[in-house]
Amino acid sequence: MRQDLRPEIVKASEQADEGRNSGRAERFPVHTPLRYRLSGDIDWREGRTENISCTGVLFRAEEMLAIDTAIEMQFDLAAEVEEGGGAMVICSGQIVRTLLPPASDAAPAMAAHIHEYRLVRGSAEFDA
Amino acid sequence: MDKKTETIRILIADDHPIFRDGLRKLLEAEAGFQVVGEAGDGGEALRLSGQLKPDILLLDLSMPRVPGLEALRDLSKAAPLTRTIVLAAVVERAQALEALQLGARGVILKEAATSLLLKSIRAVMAGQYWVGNSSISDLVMTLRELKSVPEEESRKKSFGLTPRELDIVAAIVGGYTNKDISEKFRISEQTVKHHLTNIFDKLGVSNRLELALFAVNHRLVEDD
Repeated sequence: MRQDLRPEIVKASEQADEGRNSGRAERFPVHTPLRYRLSGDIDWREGRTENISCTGVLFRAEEMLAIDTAIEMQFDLAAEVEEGGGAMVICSGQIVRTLLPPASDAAPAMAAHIHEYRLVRGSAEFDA
Repeated sequence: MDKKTETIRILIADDHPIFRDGLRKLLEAEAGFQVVGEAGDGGEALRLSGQLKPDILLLDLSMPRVPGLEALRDLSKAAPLTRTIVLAAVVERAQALEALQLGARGVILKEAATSLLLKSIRAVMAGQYWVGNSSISDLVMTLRELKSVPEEESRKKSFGLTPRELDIVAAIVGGYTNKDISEKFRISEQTVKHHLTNIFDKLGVSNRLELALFAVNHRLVEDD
């Protein structure tokens, strides 16, 4: 079943009422497993992030998606915090860029813009 | 210093007007001290130092646009005779070391007693250095002591965040909501939001996700 985004989702493109908008978002070189699925799909697919900012994700996956494809994504923040691992980030967005792999045996890369996200406690799990 | 009256002329640089106001009143209540100006960021501190040529610059480390350490780098050119005492809410060894190496004459915490601040100003004016709670007679030894920390510890920077702010960052990274955080630390949600505003400003991030990514990338919240 689809996991609905609860009311406390945050629109990534809006300026948070807590912070300031400081221009282009910094990209963090985070390499972590990512699950994604097309909006409306049940099954998740596997990928791996290359970098993440507060407004987008660059990730590699076996199958390239078309630009403007709406997707949902989940990944864990790999962090050793006091009470267990880091949060899981659940977000929705769309593919805005695709990059062919440098070699034929490498996975293509896709950049997804994050429209909305939320941080939840606990690790990413497949939905039932 | 005004030789006739031996008044110590002081410039205050801090981005919080309430703090500057309070500090100004404390200093002006002291005989022989005169506050000649106030600056809200490092750039203004540099400009006013060059213009007013104060004896002492009280320089906050955490300021927007041009932070304290950056201003310190250019201060020797802007105002070579001005002696700087760095003020900080929290200061790590590496920051204290860097401040002294950049020419600061003193490093003192904002939570220090007023009497200590006044003592530090007089000590620095007398040609001494001041770190923490006391004057320093052997700067070289002090610098060596500050340098001799495990590399791992010196690398773990707090970016000027207070211990409470670091707790809140850890909670954000752990996926806690504001309500969760308020319950965990027994503070109001408004206080949580206030802390987050300060954290966002200090780190230059714009939302929770960016904060979490920043914290993970810079290993801000890892268990020791």
